[in-house]
Amino acid sequence: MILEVASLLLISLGCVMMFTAALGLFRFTSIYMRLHASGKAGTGGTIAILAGVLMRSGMSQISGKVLLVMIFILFTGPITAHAIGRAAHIESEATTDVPFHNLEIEEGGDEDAN
Amino acid sequence: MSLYTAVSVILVFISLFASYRLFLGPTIYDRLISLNVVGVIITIILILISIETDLGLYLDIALSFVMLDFVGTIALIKYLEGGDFV
Repeated sequence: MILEVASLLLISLGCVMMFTAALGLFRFTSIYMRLHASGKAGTGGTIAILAGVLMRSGMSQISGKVLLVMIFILFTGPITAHAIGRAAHIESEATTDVPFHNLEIEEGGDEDAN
Repeated sequence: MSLYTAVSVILVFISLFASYRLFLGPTIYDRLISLNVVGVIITIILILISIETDLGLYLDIALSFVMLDFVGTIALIKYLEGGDFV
């Protein structure tokens, strides 16, 4: 009973988080904001939905593979977001809307300030 | 209609909503972000289909799909950065 309710809560929370990721992807104005929305809410929503599915299905051969997919997405989601953000920062034409995209740290200067 | 079918239908509509940037994003990076979200949603739908129909085949498809999605995105980003990779 408790497991049922908890899995329903997790699955609906995951759907809401995925919708939030899609809404942020649709609505935000610069590429870093879109990356923020999809990188955190997308990965978190996936983990929530798969955890709810795991709670409902119980221990079996299926749930091991679901756990494997969950761990894989948990690791590779932030890596992908970081790589896309780094590539977009390197090619600076992609970041026209951001007012702070060309902040550069002074070389040889204040490393202690960071 | 069971729970997993309803969640799959909701996720299909969410992925259609998220693929707005895939079709008319301003830069290639917006398309990549959108493609990442759509690929993750496709993986979840494959897992839900597998549990709903009791076919373990779809789980292997989901596992290989998420691995190939990750490797493809990283390779495309390495190409866009102009770096050399094998």
